[in-house]
Formats: sequence, C-alpha cells, structure tokens
Amino acid sequence: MTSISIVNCRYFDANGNEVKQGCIQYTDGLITHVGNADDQLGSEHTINADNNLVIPGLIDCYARLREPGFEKAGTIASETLAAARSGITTLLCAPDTEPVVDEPGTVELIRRRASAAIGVRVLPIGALTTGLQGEHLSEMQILSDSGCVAFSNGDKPIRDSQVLRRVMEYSAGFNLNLIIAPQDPWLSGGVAHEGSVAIRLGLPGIPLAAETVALSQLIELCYQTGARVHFSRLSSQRGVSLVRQAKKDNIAVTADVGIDHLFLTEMDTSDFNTFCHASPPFRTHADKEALRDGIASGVIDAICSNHAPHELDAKLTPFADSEPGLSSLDSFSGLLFKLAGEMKIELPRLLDRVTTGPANCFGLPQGKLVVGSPADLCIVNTDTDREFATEDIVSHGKNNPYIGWDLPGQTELTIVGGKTVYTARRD
Amino acid sequence: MNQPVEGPDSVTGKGKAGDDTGSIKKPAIMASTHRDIQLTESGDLKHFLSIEGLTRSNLIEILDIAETFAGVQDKAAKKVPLLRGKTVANLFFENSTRTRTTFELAAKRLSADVLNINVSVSAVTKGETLLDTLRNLQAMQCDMFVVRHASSGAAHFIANHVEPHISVINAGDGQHSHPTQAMLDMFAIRRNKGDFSKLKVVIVGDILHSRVARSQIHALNILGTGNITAVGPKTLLPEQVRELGVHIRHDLDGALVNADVVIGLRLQKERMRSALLSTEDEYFRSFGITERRMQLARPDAIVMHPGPTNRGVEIEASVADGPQSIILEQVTGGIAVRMAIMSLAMGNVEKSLTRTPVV
Repeated sequence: MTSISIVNCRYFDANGNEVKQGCIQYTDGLITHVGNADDQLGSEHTINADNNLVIPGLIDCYARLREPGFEKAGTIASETLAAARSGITTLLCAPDTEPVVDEPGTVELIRRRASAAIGVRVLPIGALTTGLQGEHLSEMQILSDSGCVAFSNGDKPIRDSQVLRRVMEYSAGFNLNLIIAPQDPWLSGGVAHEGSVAIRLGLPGIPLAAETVALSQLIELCYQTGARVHFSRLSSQRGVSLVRQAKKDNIAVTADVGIDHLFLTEMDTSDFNTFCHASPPFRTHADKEALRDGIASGVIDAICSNHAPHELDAKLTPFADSEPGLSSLDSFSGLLFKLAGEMKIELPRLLDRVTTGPANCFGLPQGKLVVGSPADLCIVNTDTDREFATEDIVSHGKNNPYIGWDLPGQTELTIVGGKTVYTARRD
Repeated sequence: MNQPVEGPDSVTGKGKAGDDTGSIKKPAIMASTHRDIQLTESGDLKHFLSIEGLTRSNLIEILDIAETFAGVQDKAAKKVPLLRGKTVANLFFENSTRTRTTFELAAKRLSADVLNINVSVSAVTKGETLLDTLRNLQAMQCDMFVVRHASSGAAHFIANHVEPHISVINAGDGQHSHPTQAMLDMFAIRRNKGDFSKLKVVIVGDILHSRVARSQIHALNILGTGNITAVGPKTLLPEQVRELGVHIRHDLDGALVNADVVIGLRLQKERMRSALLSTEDEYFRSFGITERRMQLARPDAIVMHPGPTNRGVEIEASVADGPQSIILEQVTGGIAVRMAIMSLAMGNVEKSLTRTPVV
C-alpha cells in the first residue's frame, strides 16, 4: 500500500463548488480521500499543490498519434508527452495508422508502445471496416476484446449507405461505441469552408451540407439500428441543431467538437495559412459561436483535440496541396482555460466536457474526482498567462498555429493511475 | 468594397486592436500576410501576386507606365534597357503558350535574359517539393520569377519563400488570381472607354472557377467602376460572389441592358463532365454572347475575352471577329502592361534593397 497525499490544493466538489485548502489522497492507483486538509491521513508521500487547482486528468476522445506507420509525423512516445503536458491522462487514438487498427496485433503493438512511453492511457479506436476501405466489417468483437474502446472509419467516410447501415446494426448487437465524423463523401471534396473566404481565394469549398447531409442520414440510421454513435468533430451551427434535435428525440447519440473549431474561423485561412487547413474546415464566426453554445448547453458532450501532427513538408505547399489538420495537443489545455475565460461558463462545467463528458460517451471509469476512481489527476496553475512559443511544442507535428497567443494555465503535474507521468516542477 | 468579407471579429490571440492578420500569428517559417507581402514598406509594388490589397494609385501607376511602353511597341526599335543584366525565369507549372509568350516578349523588350522553364508535373511526382524546385532555380541566380501554377495561393507561397532580391509575378494561380490579365483588361477598357466610374461592366461565364474574373472584379472595384454585374448559371456563380462587390444575375439578356463593356470568360469542357452544366448547346443558348444579344447593350459597347475563345460556346464567331470586339487589342496591350509591371516591380525591389540599412 503506497499512499500519496496532495495537500494544500483547491478542487471542485461533486456540486461544482470550489473547495479551498483541500487534500486528496490516492493509494495503489485509486483515489482514497477527497476532503479537507485537517483530516488526518497517513501517507508515505506528500505533494504540496501550493494552492493550485487539482482536476481529474483530461480525456481526449480523438487524437492521431501516427504510430505505427507515420513516425516522422508523430510517435506514441512524443505525442503522449505532449498530451501529458496538457494534463491529458487518457486519449483515444485514431485507427488510420499503417497498418490500420483492424487486427488485434496492431492493437497490441499500440498498447505496448504506450506502456513503454510516459504512461498516458492510450485507448485504441478500432477500424470500422477492414483497411478503412468502407466495404467489409472489421472483427469488432475481437478488436473490442483486445482493447478497442470504440470503432471508427477515421477521416474516410463510408460511401455505401448499405454498408453504413450494416456496420451500425452489427455494432449495436454487441453494444459497441462508434465514432463517426459526419462528412458526406461526395460533398466534402474541397479544402476550405464554402463561404466568402474560399470564394475570394479561389479554393474548392466544402459546403455546410457536407456535414448536415451526413448527420441527417446517420441520425436516421441510428434511429433505425439502435447503434450508439458518437458524432466526432462537428463544425457547424446547423450540425449542432441536428444533434440537439436527435437528443430530444431520444436517439442514442453523443457528440464532440475539436478544440480548434472553438477558436478559429474561415478568416484564419484568408492568407492561405496552411496551418489552418483543417478537416472539417473552419467555418464562420456564427458557427464557432454555435459550437461554443453547444459546449455550454451540453448538446456537445466533449471537446477533443482532433490532433493531427504532420511533417512540416506536408504544410509547406500551396494551401490546397497541403494536408489537413492541426497539431493540437500542446496547446490543448491552454486553449481550454482560454475558453473558460471567454465563454463565461463555470469552469467545472467546461471541465466536464473533457472529463466526465467523454468518459460517459465511452463508458470509461476515469474523469471523476471521487473516492474509488482511478487516480488520474492534474495539478494546474490557473493564475499564469504566458505567450505560447515554439519551445512549447513537443509534438513531432510543428503544425500548430497558436505561436504568439497568450494562453492561460500551466500544467504543474500530471498523474496517471497514481504515477506521476509529467512534472513542470524543477525540484 | 474590395475586402468585403472581414468577419465580425476574428479572435485575436492577444486581443490587440489593429492586429489585422486574423487570429493567427504565424511562426517565422510561414512568413507574413498576403496583404502586404507584395508591397515594399513604402507601399510600392515588389511582387505582383493579386489585385486585392493594391490601391488605386498602384493600378493607375501600372496603367500609366504601360501607356509609355505602348508607344515603344510602335517604334522600329522595340527595346528599352530597363532590365538589362537581369534574368527573368518563366516558371510554368501549368501549360500556357499565350501567357508565357507575352511575358517572354515583355521581358525581352525590357532587355532581360529570359529562361523558360516548364516545370513538368513529373518533377513533383518524383518527390521533389515545390520548395525544392524553387531553391534549385534560385541557385541559378534569377532576379524575377514569373509563375503559373495550378494551386490557388501558389504565387503567394513562392513569394513567401524566395530571397529578398527576387520579385515574383503571378501569371495565374489556380482559381485565385491572374492579376496581369486583369491589368491588361483594365488597360484596354481605359483606352476605349476612359472614366471607369461611368461604366457598366458585365462579366459572363464560369465565375466560380475563374481567376481572371476574380482579378477583374477586384481591379474594376478599385478603379471605381459604376456597375459590375456577374452573369452565369447558379452552379458557376454562387451567392457568395456578391461579397466580392458585384451584382449577380442568372439571365444574360437582362444584365446586358445598357452595358458598356461585356467580358466573356473561357469555359472549361470539364464543367460538363462534373455536372455543373448540361451541354454546350444549352450553355450557348443561355449565356452565349451573340449579335442579337449585343443589341441590348449600348451601341458603342465593347466585347472582351481573355482567350482562347470557344466559338459557338461562350461567344458567337461574328461577335468575336466583329467591330465591337477588342480581343486582339487585349493581347497587344498585354505586352506593354507586363513590361510596366515587370519594370516597376524590379525597380522597387532594387530600391528597397539599397534602402535596407547595413548592419
């Protein structure tokens, strides 16, 4: 029995009230005490939080780690370090690696690499169809047994609606979670939001309907098949409305938004900045505001990183020739705390979208600061505010557009299962 | 008018007023914004990448200088020594005999050495990046790159990555911009019609995919054109085009009433294959510039086309060859206009380099 106490900390209790001068104790990887400092606890070690905030470790429900297959763009070791520095203790990694995550051997490889890395929990997302080809069902049950927590076709939409219906039916029979990025394959051929900026720059557009047509189809298929679908990376106001309505109709859907979509708009591509070439594309100011409203109201359950590290060469091209996606893990927590300041949302409610929100979507035991939960914790200094700089990017993907932004909050310590995996402290 | 799409408030990272670059500050490697990259610190033309971002006086200066070169062309000795000792590289990543030839002629009449480089697609498929190609050419000590590329923004990308002594002229990038074409069109309009503020200009055709139309619209707006109307089928003329500062119509007859200038755009055959249009016949019926239709315009209206024309598709042969057509005059003026742009940009690059304080 190894007990560790974090003393002199602030935290939010179950009702979202801030407790000052708190003490949190964990033993053998589980939280054993959440309460006041004056409770007498016998602990072998003590961590002084210096009056900083202790929150449950963050859960990122969609990140591309690039390993196996694309190690120049990112490795499990490099990207999980970036995650830990953002206070992320659990992340769901995308299946679009090489080989694709469509057989247990690949799942095993990812798990092994992850445990050899700093210790962030890496939960593989299995491929929904073999090779992500959109034709044959993958061995979802076997993959699930080997550790896949959800299934997705990554960034490749399934074109054939009969295949789509079948994967949804099949997964529903085994109570498996699906993650689907709603993008109509025929309408999403462009590179930028089909709006004033794309028209001005002469860039092939992706219309709103690329998202809403796909969502409408998927919602109807959910209704018919009873599949549990998590819509990943919403980008539009109308998309949020469709999900709101589906939830009202008691269809079992959940949703997330990529953190970058809560900050960037089509205007950010107006000088051909390839770092802002994203999938789905950044849309209008009104869309960004609607996504923020979705976060506040809970129509959107989770905020994911949508992390897409790339080699710089993939971005050093004319806009349309560049690869879509942003390297987002390094700036994830900074943007999150920036969002708290800009949105006038209670911090505990915002934190739900990166803790209990995604945990509930995928039935994970993490994300709560209560006795008996896994000791996945993060100590954050919420009083700092500093300029995000090149040195802050530890991801292999340097395609992060936030250099020069003032980002609040600094992760002091990240703990996974009771083990400190990252510390910013010198001592 | 020329920048109508500034969003309500793109978030600025620092929340600083006057931060005009949208929310994103780029790392050093991505270089500066495209609004100022083509101008020197004193506002002179250094690269010529897009009409957007230029001022009325930038455009007037080009047109005025072009007038002086138009005189040179009529003389027996056609050369002026403005670019003597300079090397101009025509980098064509996309084929175009016509544009390349006029650039070559313009450079030669300015006494420059000219390198014509057809950068085949194969160099790219061999794994050589655009940046590699560029660095190689830079090593050949060229002073000016004239660039045509199939991707929108390619000229900006190149200008962002060349050494400071090199000037980049955009000879057409994807569907974004073709500023020298727009300037030669303005040159032809000014010679024939004078004051822009009194004009009604109608642009007909595939606006969506046309870099020429985008550049023309910006130029016409900057020069204060009274009425600019874009006409085409809805598939090739989306609603957002209005934000460029034009009226939008889907009926040519109505648009042509009282027009002073009618500009046809080239229609790519692939538009039929990608379900944007039905047939050439139907297109000609709805949007073809015909003798009958031209009677709706002012009697002294002129007809323009960037060429090459698809006769019987976007324009009737008798109109293209008729008295109202100034299509060939456009081509001739193109040399003078390109001479003006090249000499102006090169001169300003040299000025800006000598102004740079020695550290």
